[in-house]
Amino acid sequence: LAIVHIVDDDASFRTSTARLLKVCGYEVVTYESAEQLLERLPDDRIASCILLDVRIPGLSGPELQDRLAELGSALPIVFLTGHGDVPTSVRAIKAGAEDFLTKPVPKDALIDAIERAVARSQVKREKSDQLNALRGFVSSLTPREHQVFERVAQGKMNKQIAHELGTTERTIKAHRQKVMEKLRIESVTELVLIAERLGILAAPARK
Amino acid sequence: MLLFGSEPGGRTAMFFWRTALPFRCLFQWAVVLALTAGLLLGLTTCSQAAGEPKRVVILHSFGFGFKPWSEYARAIREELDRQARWRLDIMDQLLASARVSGDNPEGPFINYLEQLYAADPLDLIITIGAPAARFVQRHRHTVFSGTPVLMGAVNQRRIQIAGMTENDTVVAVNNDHLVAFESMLRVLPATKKVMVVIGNSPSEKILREALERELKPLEGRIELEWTDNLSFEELLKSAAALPPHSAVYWFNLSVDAAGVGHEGDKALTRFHAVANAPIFSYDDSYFGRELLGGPMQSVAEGGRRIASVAVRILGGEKAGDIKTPASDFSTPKYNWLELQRWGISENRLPPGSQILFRSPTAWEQYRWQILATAAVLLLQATMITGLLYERRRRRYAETEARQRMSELAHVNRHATAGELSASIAHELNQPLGAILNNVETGAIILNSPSPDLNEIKTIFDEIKRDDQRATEVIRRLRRLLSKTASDAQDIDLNDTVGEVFDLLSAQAAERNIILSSKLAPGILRVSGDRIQLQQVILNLVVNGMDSVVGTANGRREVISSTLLSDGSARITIADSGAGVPSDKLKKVFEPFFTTKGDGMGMGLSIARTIVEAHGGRIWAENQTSGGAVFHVDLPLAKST
Repeated sequence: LAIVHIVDDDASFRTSTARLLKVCGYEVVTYESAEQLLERLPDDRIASCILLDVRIPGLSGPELQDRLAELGSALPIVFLTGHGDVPTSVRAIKAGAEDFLTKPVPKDALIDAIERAVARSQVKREKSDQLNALRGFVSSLTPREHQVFERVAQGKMNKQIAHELGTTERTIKAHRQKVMEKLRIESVTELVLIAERLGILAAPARK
Repeated sequence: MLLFGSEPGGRTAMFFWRTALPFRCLFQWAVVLALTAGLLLGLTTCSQAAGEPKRVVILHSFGFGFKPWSEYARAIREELDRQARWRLDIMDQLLASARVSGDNPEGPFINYLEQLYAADPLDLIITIGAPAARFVQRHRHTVFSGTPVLMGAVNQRRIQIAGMTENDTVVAVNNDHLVAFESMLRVLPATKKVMVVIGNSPSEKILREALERELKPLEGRIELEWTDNLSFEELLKSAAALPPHSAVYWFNLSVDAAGVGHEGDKALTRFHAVANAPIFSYDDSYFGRELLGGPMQSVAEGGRRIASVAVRILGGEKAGDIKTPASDFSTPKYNWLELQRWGISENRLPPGSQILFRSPTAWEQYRWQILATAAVLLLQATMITGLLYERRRRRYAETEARQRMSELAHVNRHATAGELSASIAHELNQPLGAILNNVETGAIILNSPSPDLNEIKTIFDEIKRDDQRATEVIRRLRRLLSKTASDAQDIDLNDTVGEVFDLLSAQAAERNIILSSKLAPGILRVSGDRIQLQQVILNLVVNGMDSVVGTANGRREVISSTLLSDGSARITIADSGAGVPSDKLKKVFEPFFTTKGDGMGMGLSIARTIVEAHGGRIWAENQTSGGAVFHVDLPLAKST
């Protein structure tokens, strides 16, 4: 199960929430303020989420949300508030909050929200992991291979590519073979897909 | 010329002497004549101014001090002095024989008078009383044959008209005693018995007989008691023991049965002091404080009549030609004091009666003072009524104002509470959330195969604590919103400030404002209404927070402090806002003064009203470091 980071200045709520989540099998870390959390920024790659009180002294909930975004942390945030007002909740959701709950929160609703947040972030993280892998494959290409990869993705013929790069068709074929190997693909279709996901296609073609 | 030359001095002198002689004689005669004329003139003038004094003898009957005659004599003398144009030589002679019985000593008395007035004949003899009149009449032809006689103060019936000469005249009184008695019986109709005071001298014996005859018509109606055979002491005793429905007729007491003469007022005064019945009489010379009154002979009037007749005789008129009618009783006079004493209503008195010695009523005596006092009292009463009315109106107005203030304060508290509702909900949901968490945790633990009971216990403790916390929030809110009338109690200002800060802390946190307080050590005890004072602090702190939020940057701070200052408790609320324009420092406490867009402008006005109702003072200042500071001074609670 995931790790839950609770940020709340209210000791009694913080303790009781921590106790509940522990009983439900979560690992729990508590913080009295947003600053405390920032000091020991948790690893966002582990399945986890933040339970954040909107009204805390010092850095407020929404402000912490902004700071985490700046720091590139992908930790999902579930907001808790004693008194939910519409503007604050809208702003929080827009800024990427996973959920916005009003105290007192029934256990099931709380766990649902945590689970949803963790799951969603998990999916997001998997996707980004794939991309990162692809990026790694792409970065292993030599500059010549990269040029060939780009042009293949653009749907150009070997002959045409050879002409553009001022080499023979056979050389191009060899490079193309190398690219397929490095990207661990077997068809040109897969190659085009990768180029698209990494946004290589969107970039204006360099001649 | 030679002649002259030889003997100049002698001849010339001779000539002068011879020629001068006739002139000197003439001059001497003239002087003598002038002197004589002057002397004669002077003498004549003298005799005309002074003239021969008119010699008058007043012949008394009993003594100089016996009433009523003594009073007549006095009145006559006074009137003569007033009316006479001449110098008068008035002599008194006393016919004491009227008082004593036995041998008549008139002979030697006549001789004495003859001798006395032989040289200078008298101009007039005035007799007073019947004995004197009769004496003169008896000796008219021997002693006073040429002298005019005026018989005064005598009853008509006792004059011998036949014996009157042309030189005699009489100014009589008509003492109708029956009239006096009838009048007495009209005033006191129940009268059964009348004591008639009469002496025992020869003259009085005659008087008694005459009166008895006169009162014959009353026989059967009343009983008469004559006192002629009583000594004065016996008379007093008997007067003190008169039966009810008695009256006294003071007739004449010259000499009592013991032979003692009674002059002046003393007898009547002593008699009055002991008598247990009202006293009447016929002559107003007795009319002092003793008599009840009635129709009486007027001495003053009688004296005047006698005197004017005397003046006419002295002026040359023939006495016998002057006829004077007898004088009747004058208008009835009564003594107010005696009327009161015997309880006689003034309605029973004859019409036209005169009432004397009336002690003036308070009204008559102090009319103006009474009027003035009444006016002052009336004025005062009016003013008091007016003031009472005003006071009542003011009370109503004050009660009304207090009620309105209270209502307004209540509304203000509601408005403030409305503003605070978000933070209050937050404060309430915090413990509620914790409780829910704990309950659900507890349920899970209990469902596990081996529940950790220690954990359950901790959970219950926490639930209890959070419940109390929620209750406290509600209690604070309810207290703030309660509409209970102000009742003074001793409260600790530090507590009150602390409680307000608890209420506002959530809001302050949300608005990112630092709320801090520096409280005086110990207890700041003031007497007042906790809710109202809380409201004052609440209003000031909320205002401070609002002004702090208005500032773009810098500190966001509201500091509250309490301290003891000069025997009063002071609360100071300072903020780091923009402060108050210096010309508005006083204005901020006026109703409807506001700088907030949505403010009602009542907060500080209500605060001031509350503080002043607590006998305190509130004022605003600007801090040198920026921001406004509000001070509230409240008197410390008495005792402890």
